[in-house]
Amino acid sequence: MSAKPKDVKVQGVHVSVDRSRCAGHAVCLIHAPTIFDVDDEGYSVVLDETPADIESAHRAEINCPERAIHVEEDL
Amino acid sequence: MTQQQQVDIGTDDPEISQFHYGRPEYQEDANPVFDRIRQKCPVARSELFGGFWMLSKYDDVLRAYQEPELFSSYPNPIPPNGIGSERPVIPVETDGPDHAKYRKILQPLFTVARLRPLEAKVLQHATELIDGIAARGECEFITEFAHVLPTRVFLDMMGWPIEDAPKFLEWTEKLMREPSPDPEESLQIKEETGLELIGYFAEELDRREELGPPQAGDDADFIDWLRSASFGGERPLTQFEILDCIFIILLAGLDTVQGVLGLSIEFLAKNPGYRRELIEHPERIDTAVEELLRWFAPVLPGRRLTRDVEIRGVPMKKDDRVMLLMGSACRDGDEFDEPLAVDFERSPNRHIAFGAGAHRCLGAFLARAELRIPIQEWLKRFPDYGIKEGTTVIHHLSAVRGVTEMYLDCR
Repeated sequence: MSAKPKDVKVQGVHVSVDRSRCAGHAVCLIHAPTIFDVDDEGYSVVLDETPADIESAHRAEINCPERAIHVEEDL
Repeated sequence: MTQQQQVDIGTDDPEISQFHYGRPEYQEDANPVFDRIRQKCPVARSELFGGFWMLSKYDDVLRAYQEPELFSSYPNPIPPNGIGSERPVIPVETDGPDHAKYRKILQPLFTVARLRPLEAKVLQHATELIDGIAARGECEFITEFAHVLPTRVFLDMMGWPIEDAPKFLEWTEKLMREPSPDPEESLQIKEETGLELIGYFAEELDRREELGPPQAGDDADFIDWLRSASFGGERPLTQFEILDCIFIILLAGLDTVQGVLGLSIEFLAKNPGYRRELIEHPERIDTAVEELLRWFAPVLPGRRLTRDVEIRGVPMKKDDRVMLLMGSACRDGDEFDEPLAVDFERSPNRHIAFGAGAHRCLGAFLARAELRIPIQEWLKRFPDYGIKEGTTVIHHLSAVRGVTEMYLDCR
């Protein structure tokens, strides 16, 4: 969510889910269905830890009601 | 130290200190009082029903959901009443390890993978109902659509015949509304109706028992999954537990979906700009549904404190009751930009209309489908629908808010 100066180029991101926080809302599937899935018990798993679609990853991160998703940027 | 006297908890404001969702003056619209509580005394106290706290800020409500060891789910309603008053309702009124064991059984039944096939059913029912309404050119939306759709979807989920829908509609109508003007008679009708429903479920379980042992794993349908489930690896579920689960799944997915669907269709009827936006930008339906969920967050759950705690300078005692004002939390400007504006592209939108934490609504995926698909189909077929002239939409507020009656012109 943090605003970045335009000239800083993000090379890539690393996506993770904090399983102790995830409650299975599956909101991440709405915003980034190619990056996330849910397991048999209904909790979020990361399908693609280094997605090319960085924008969707960020949208999933900022919309998670449990704040369970982290998208770290490699600058 | 007189801090507790300095913090305003609404004692001098009768609208706040006498608040309860059952009061007649809030049936049409409780948002003004929610906004007032949040702005004036974010932690407030009502003196009704022996007294209870009200949390109105997003952060506090989220915390209550995410700290179930402090905010017990039993009992849930304030006052404790109606269905399930004799024993905790499974799983919504259970706590801790027991809750986790029930949840472990139920959650796999509500995953995206398992529920996605039901989307086709939702579409089928929506289309059929809309066909019928189109033929007449008008409808009363709640009895002809918003109540019928989730009832049919429940039957599909259970694998029960759609021909039983009228019976279920009659039962659930009695359970959700006041079937008699006399409260005692109303309660009696509700109890009898609850028994009839449980009787239907029990007959089905007996029939299954006669057929033999349940299917297990991925081959199991809903009921066989429960029949073959193990409670924490210790024992099978009892018949009572299975019946409770089916009962709560029926009720939890009914007045909630009916409520938000009715409110959403009313909103789109009265706000042609938003209606046009969805017609012109159908790709916005997902974020629009999230925004409608935020805007109408229909449930007002209760909790019980397991120890003394201070919230925003207000000291509370072990066993005090706490009502989570979801409708307020989802309009909180500290969490949402422009909280009182509806934005179908809102992002971030971390609304908690489905709750959060360990008790997060199991049926959320299905609920979203039961909003998204009907709204889309409705707008396709009736792009110019409106509230029928000379009629007024009637609302209700209880532990769940919704539309009681809404006549629509659908030509």
